[in-house]
Amino acid sequence: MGDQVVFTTATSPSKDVAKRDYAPFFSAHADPHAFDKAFETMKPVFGSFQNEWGHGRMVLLPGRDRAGRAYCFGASVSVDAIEAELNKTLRHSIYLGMGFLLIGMLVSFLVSNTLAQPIVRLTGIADEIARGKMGQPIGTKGPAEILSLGRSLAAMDRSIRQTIGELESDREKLRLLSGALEAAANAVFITDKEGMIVWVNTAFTTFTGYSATEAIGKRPNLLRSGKQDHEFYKKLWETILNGEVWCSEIINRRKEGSLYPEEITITPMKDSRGEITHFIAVTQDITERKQARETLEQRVAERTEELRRSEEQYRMLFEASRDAIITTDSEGNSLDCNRAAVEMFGFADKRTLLALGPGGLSPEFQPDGRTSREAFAEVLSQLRDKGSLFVEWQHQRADGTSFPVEVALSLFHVAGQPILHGMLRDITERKRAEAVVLQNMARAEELARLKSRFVSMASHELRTPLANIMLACELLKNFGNEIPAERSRSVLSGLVTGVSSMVRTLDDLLLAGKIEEGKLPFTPVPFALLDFLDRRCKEVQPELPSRIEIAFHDAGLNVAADERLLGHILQNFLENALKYSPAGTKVELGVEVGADSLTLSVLDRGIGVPEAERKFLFEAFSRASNVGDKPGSGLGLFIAQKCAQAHGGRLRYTPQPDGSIFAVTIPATTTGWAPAH
Amino acid sequence: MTIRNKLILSIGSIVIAIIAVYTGASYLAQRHLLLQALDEKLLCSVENLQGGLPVDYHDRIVNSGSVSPEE
Repeated sequence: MGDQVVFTTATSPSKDVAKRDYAPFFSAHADPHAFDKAFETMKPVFGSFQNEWGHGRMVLLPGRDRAGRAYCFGASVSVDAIEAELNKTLRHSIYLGMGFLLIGMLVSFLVSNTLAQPIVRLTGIADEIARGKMGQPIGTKGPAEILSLGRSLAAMDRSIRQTIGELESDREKLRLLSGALEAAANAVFITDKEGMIVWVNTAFTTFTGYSATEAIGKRPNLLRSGKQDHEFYKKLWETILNGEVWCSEIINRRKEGSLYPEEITITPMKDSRGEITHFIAVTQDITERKQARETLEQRVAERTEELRRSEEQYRMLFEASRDAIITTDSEGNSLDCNRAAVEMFGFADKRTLLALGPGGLSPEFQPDGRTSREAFAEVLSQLRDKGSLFVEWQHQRADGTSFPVEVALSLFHVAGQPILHGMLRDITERKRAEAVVLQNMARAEELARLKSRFVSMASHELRTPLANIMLACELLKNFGNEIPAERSRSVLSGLVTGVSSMVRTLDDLLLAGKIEEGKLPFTPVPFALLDFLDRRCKEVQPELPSRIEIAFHDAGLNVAADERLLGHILQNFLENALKYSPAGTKVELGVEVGADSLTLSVLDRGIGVPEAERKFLFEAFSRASNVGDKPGSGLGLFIAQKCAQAHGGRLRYTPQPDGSIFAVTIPATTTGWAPAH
Repeated sequence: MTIRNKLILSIGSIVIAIIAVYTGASYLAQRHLLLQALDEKLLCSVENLQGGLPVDYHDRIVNSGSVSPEE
């Protein structure tokens, strides 16, 4: 057949396709079913064959002749050339594929090396770490995952080194703790959660007599003495299984049978999850401590009894004291008091007194003007410095009356709290006696002062006229016949003046004596006021022209008073006014008649009275410092004051810019005597 | 087996598979194209010859001598 196309056509000898009697050509190298398919579809049917006819390609084209009979026209051609071409192409492809395969294998080798090398290196480092060689340098080349793995490995290396360091430290601590526990004087044993002893120290063996071999694996109840009941152990286990520490005293039994008290502390040990894994028990033999405690308790009991007796004695003394005793806190709240205090303050019972708050036993103010609170604060301050002190205090009774007390205060502390202990003594009588003594002392001082003034006055007011009289008498005795008559009269007049001055001074002294003795005569009678004033003025200044101006002209007005005493007052006023005023100045006598009072006032232009000495103005023998050498006994205003007081009136001194006003006001009426109440 | 060998084996297997699939597919496609061209050639030839046959050709052909070599 070669590469030529071979054509054939055939009709079955029977000319009937249904009989399938085809030509051998078709049977030889065609698909046995190709005819059927061609005639069924009446379309070309392609097929291949490889047999004695060779290897070819065939086509069957169905058709019909002019008689309508079906026939099939076929053609075939050899495919050897095509196969050869295909095989050649296939070989080329295989060669090319093998080339690509070699390249692929090379690439895969390179890629594998690139990927695996860092992993291999890291694996080597991990192996080194596993062998304990820490701190290997870890490179930073490779893919991101490898770099991340390297960083993780480095972090793991650091973490392992840190953990190893901590473990080394912990191991050292553990060694120390283990050694400490082993060497501890206290017996220590450790049990697991079920209560099985897993470790004991040497002291345990010493105390109990059980060796470690004997104790380990057994329960702590091998020490049980039977002195504690079931409830005790039940509570113990409940406590430690709840994770709490159990601490108590317990009586256990040694291996040889003797009992001993010990203090045991059982502490649950927990793992990182908080689960109890072990219990550690630390025990201490407290035999000696118990004996010491019993001894101490006995001593405490004895001491307590002593204290009770002491307290009883103190309470007896406290209650039996005649002085009031009160204890307070630092705020002044009363804490305790005795019976005398209740009686002193006038309360019905102790409870009422103690119920009073701070300041309830004191008036609002103390005699020095301070409030009781301020004074108490100051006393407390001093007490803190000194510890104890005596003070005088003004207290207040239940009925509100005040009374002075002397307080012996002590400060002490009870349980850290300051306590004030005060012993109070009512000093009302003593104060009264002191007042009398002080009054007497003042009186004595006054008398001494009066005596001093009297001596001074007498030495001056009596000696001066006496000296003049003596001089005049000597003059008359020695030269009486030789001196002229006029001169003799002048000397005699001087004698009379001196004697009169002495008489007046003595009269004043006598009157002052009567006043001191309360024997001043007082006889009020009605008299004509203007006539009275006129006479007194002329007695004081008989010579003319008179320096005294009377501002009163009612000749018909009568008043009722002691004319002699009133005259003494007025005479004193006028004499002083004339004596201490410059010569030639006027002295005004004023009169003011009220409905039931009479006021006589004298205005002068004199030297006045220094302000500091005005309070002594009406005292006996008192003379102002600015009087100079003016004569005077210092009794005039004292007597005038007493005379005014005898009327129920008083004197008044009013300083003026250029002088003074002395006035007396007495109760008097124009119809009769009206004594003041 | 090391990871490197695994990688080499895996990548090599993938390369071999890809080359084999590609080569096979390429061969089959080439063969299909050649056969398709041959089939078109055969069909064209057959159709041309079929149209040139005498109308009694099938009546005459009853054995191997019914058609002369010249015809």
